[in-house]
Amino acid sequence: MATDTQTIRLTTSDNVEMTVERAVAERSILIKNLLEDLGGEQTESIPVPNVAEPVMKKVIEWCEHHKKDPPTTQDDDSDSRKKSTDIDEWDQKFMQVDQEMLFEIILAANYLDIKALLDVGCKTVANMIKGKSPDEIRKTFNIQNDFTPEEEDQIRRENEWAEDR
Amino acid sequence: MESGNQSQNLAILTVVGNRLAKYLQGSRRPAWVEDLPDELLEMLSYNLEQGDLANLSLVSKRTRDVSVRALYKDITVVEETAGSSKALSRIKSMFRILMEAPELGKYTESFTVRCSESLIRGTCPTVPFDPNGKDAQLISLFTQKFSQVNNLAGLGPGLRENRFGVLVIVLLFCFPKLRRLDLTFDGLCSASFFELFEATLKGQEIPFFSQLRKVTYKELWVGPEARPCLLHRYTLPESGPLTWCPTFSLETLDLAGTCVDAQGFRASLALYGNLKVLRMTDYWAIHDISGALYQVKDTLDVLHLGRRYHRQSVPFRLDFSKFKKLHTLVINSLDFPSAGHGIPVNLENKFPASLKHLTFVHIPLRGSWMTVICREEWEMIDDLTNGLANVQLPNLQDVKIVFPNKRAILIEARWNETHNQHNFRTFCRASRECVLSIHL
Repeated sequence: MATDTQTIRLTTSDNVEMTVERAVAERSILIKNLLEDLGGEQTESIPVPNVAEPVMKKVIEWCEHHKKDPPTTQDDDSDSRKKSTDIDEWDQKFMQVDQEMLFEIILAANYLDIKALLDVGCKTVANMIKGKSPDEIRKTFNIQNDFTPEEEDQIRRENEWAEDR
Repeated sequence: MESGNQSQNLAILTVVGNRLAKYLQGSRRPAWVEDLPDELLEMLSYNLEQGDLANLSLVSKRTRDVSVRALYKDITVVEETAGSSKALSRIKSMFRILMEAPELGKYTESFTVRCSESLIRGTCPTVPFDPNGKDAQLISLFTQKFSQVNNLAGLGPGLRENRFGVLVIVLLFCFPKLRRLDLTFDGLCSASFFELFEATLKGQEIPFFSQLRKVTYKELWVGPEARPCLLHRYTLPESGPLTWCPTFSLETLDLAGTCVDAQGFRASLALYGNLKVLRMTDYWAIHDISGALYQVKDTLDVLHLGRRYHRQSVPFRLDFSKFKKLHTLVINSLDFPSAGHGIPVNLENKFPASLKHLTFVHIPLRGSWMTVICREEWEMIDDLTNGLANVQLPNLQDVKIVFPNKRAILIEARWNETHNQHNFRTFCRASRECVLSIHL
């Protein structure tokens, strides 16, 4: 019988074993389903081959804070939810990490199937883009401009309708 | 002294080393946003407004590829202040670009126009396109292209006059995958699609529009290629001006990704005397659709009720055997529940003899984000297919089970494990889903 205080072990890609409260780990749908499928008490450590320890620690920190949140429903996926970049204050602070870590958190959330964390990650990046010119976005994310001036002109023309508001 | 120098040098080296390491670490992912997989970049794009998307599309080829889909997915043109020329200039810019780069129109799924009636009826002054300017070529291109295909040459004069309503109509032809059209005039939806055409075309007879068919509920439109567009008009009362609508002979009704209520659905279906194809995929909020569906049981050939995920609704009890012409049926695997105990599901007299193609859409039992298929689900599928083997369907040509794509790898593994004991014939993986064909 699974209880809230039950713990499970996870082994990260860098071979570090971490003990986590089951209810916390189950914020990850991947782990939740795995545990349900395996049934009974889980004694073996669960390998998480795509996530390294430092990232896993951050993910667990987020899951611990959000362990009592209601599960995400399909309705939350509706378009009405989109186009909003509001992030809860705690999540905002949580996401104040370097870009490398932000990238890893987004990838881990996607792999572990933690929809709400993935959402926060994407919104954080969206907020870093909002209101910036193409050049500022390039500087923020160190992206190389690979357009020719002609291509850039063409895109500007294609975007005219969206910019002229 | 020497050792002091050494430690100082070591300290300097450490600082330089750390900086170098930091620099190298920073440059390891010089453009990590670009490294994100397409689906995540897309998800990110959907959090951005049009202006930001436009900027993102100018950053690099990679960001362009992804942001352009989000940029064109939902197009909204709002006349914020009556008489302001912004809405017209946006529509005009869009017309220009879609004439030059028509491939962009294929990303558009939703088109929203909110403006004053005077703008749509063309009673406010506009500046005509300059007949000698660069747009003249585009107009002749449009006239040439559409006069051949849809006999829309009659739109030419209105277009040259730069009429807003005409431009809106023209744009509709540039969005081949449009699923939702929302036209609101003066905040009341007082002008229907027909009224728009009437007002803009001023009585000209254009064959394409006379082929359009209209329903009274939730405004379903079917174009000449049976491509349905659903109009959401939330503010319109049921008994409103749409009661004048003409008769119709709708054959295809596609409610993919659409919520309709039971009463409206029943009312709509009652109006279709000749409905042949009905698709209700993704989701819908009707718990009991049987009464409504029986209204079209004598005409329906294709019925698609394959919800993509579990809505925790009770499986409906629809007697498919009453649909005498039905040859293609797509249903949710949970609609014929099995206990998963190895007892074949009783499917006796459940399907009509006319049935040729049967597809079960498998719904994960525990949420839609699952990546594994659990044993009990597999056994339930097994019971279902064994149940099918026990019934006589003389015309049945194929039976398939469609799984969400995320589970494809695990299903394949499971199939490889068990295919000696089971009768699954082929396994193929499509881009968005995996399909298991069953040999009975």
